[in-house]
Order: sequence, then structure tokens, then C-alpha cells
Amino acid sequence: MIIDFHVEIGDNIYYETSLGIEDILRVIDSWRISYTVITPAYGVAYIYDFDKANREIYEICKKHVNLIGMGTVNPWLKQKSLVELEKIFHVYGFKGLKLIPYLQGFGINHKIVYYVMEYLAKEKAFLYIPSGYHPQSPLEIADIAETFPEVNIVMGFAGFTDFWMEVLPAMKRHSNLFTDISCQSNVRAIKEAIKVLGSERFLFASSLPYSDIEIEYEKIELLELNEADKENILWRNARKLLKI
Amino acid sequence: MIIDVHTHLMNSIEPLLDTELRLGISKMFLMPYRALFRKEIMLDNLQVINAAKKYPDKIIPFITIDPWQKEEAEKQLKELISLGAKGLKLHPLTQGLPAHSELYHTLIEVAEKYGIIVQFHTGSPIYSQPLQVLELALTYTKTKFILAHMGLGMLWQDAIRAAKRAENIYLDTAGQRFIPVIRYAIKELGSERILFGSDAPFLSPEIELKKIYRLSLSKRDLENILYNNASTLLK
Repeated sequence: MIIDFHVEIGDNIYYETSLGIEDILRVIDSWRISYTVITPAYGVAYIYDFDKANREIYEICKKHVNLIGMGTVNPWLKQKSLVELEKIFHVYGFKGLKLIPYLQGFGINHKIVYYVMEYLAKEKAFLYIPSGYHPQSPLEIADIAETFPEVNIVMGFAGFTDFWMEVLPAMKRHSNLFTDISCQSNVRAIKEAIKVLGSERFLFASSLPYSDIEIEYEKIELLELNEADKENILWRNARKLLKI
Repeated sequence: MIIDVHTHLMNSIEPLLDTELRLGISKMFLMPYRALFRKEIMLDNLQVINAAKKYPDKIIPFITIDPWQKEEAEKQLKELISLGAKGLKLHPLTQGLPAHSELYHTLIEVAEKYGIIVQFHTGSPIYSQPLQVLELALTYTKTKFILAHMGLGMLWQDAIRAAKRAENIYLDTAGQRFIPVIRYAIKELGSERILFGSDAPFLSPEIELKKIYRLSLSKRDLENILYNNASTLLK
């Protein structure tokens, strides 16, 4: 069984990529993926058009039982975001929320995010943040994890670039921190983190269109995991977070 | 045939050579590792030179120098070039100064005089920024600069812009996390200044090579990136 924890669907003008539903279904089919978590493509969906983007994700998920939606709001737009959070969790039935601080324009540990975090705590929903540079480095994410220990937070990309070095200390101190291992080329660092922390908080993701399922799966092989750890990362941990 | 323009001597050379050969990589630019962190700089550099002497058809030796050693740095660089160094690796993040710092200028002048390649780590602000290397490339126009990692996570756009503005800038693919970024670079620049690099054994060459194959490039572009461009650089 495989659960792909992060895919962005739609047109992405910044990276000049586009990922359609057919592309995702093809990957699901050829890799026998049980569930794929889909989110809007990087761009205005995270700034102004999050209501429209969330509805589109919902409509897609309604038609495909193996797709699970992850929505977004922009913490700067509080009134609109509060209305949208209600929809995300009570109409659309999403299990988590994604924020991209460097696109949306705030520090992840800034008070501007607190009302969103309070909402997630109330709903027992998780937060997904692509981690990497400031303003969303793993230790910055750890700071918000400290403030809201009841919210599970998934750090996408395991620190992305050089910030793999913050992943281990961040996760060591905060048991509500998880990470997906997509787009992190430093397999040795991931291996070390799993060795120290156990495999229970690591997640598999393709992060299409940025990476590729074949590449991400090869990383799983290179990690040389035992069967239990492999299952944890490929699907068990994701299933718990997604409550499926 | 494949040339890997970015590898490090982290332990013994043979396991690295074995891995690379298994993947079809027949030649590699080999750089020191410990010396980048100011540990036994000359010893580490000499180990790279010796590895190249042992495997002359497989290894192109790159060395690194700590620019903070000033006159001594210049002397060491000249000595290592006389021993066969073909390239200079510089790492502003670990060496603790901006890429366009005066201290680097002194070393680049030597590199230019002896016609060796200069590879800069890029993508780790505040020091390893592609547009800082552009300042050097616009000053030392005869020197070929490789921007390692093509700007990594958020500075890929700057890396492509830098290469657009200076024809003596090349980009290596090592550790570039996003496949669309490599595609974007090829679209903007053509394939002639994109070089395959793995950063092995720090990163996994299996993964890094697969990223190139997943781009579904034309035969010409693929050959350029995997071999032709690096081969031309060495002439």
C-alpha cells in the first residue's frame, strides 16, 4: 500500500509546470497508490483565490475516492479565511490545511497564524508546510509546534535544501512534528533522522510536479528500511494523520 | 559516456568510483570535502591530486583554498595547480564570506592566469548567491564558472539569470530538488551550459542521474548535459 501525501494539481506559472487530474490518475494506476493528497498549484490560489481553489479540489475529490483534499487559506485575510476554514472542514471534509509562508508573506511562527492554528486545534486537523528557508525553516516550524503542541504539523520536503540539518533537532524536541521526505536529496540525512527518531513521523510523497514518483520511491529503497519502517513511511503514518 | 562534474572525496576513492561506474559515469570532477571546512586543507587537497594520479582517465582533480589565508592561499593554489589541479572549488557558505568578496578575487586571478575551472557552491544565502558569482564572471570573463546546484531551493531563478548575463557561467544539476527547475533552465539557456553533477557521495548519484533521465530530453540535449559540455570545458 502507498499513500502519496503531497501533490499539487493545476497550472503553475512560476515553475512553468502543469499537472492535470489525468496525470495523477495515471501515476495512481501504474504505482498502485491507494490514496493521493492533492492541493492547489503554487500561485494565486494561496494568496487571493483560495476559496475558488479549495472548491475545485473538493469537486475533484468528490469524483475520485482515492483523492484526498488538502485546502489552504491566507492568514492575512482573516474574515475570509475563517469562513473558508468552516467550509474546508465542515463542507469539504478535508483533513488538513496547507500554508506556504514564503508565498503568502508571513513568518510561520508569527502571531498572524495563531487564529488558524487555534482552529486546527479545535478540529484536530493537521497543518502542512513546505519547509526550507526562512520564513519556514524547520526550527521556525518547531517554534509554532511548541506554541500549539496539540496540532500535528507536517514539514514538507524535510527541510528542502540545506535545512535538512534542522529537521532532526526540530523533530527531536517536538513530537507533533512530522516530515515528508520528498524533494530532499540528502538521503543520508533522512536515514540518520529515522535511525534516531524511529520511522513513525516520516511520510512518503511524490510532490508532483516538483519531483517524481519513481525518484521518490528509489529514495525509499536507498534508505534500506526494514519492512515495518517501510510500511510506516509508505502508508501507516499517513493513514493515521488522514484518519482513514 | 557520462561525466559527473561534482563529486567529493569523503572517504576512500574506490567505493565512489565503483558506484559511479555502475551508473555509467566514467569520469568525474573530484573535490575535497574536509578542506571545505578548513580541516587539513593541504592534506585533503593532496589526497584528491593523488587519487587523480592513480586514476588519471577517470578523475579530474579540483582543489579548494581558504581565502582567509590571503598570501598563503595564493601560494597554496599555485602549488596545487603545479601538481595537476584542473579546477578550484569555492564554498562561500563554509568559507564564511560573500562570493564576490575581494579575498576571492585574488584566487580567481590565479585561476584565470592558469586557465583552471572555478566551481562555486550556490543557493545558501547570504554568501553563496548566484548574482554574487555573476559579479566575478563579469570581471573575469576568460574563466569558466560552474554554479553548483543551480541556486538550490529559492535562488534557482538568480542562477538562470546569472547564466543569461554571462556566457562563462555554467550550471550544474547536483542536488537541485525540483525537476521543473532543470527543465526551466534548459528552456531559458539551451542545453549547452547545463552540466550533470551528483554531489556524490554526499548525495545519491542514483537519484541525481535519474532526475536527468526523467526530463525526457532530446538525444542532443541529453548528451550535452551528461557529457559534451563537461568535455568541452576540459579542453
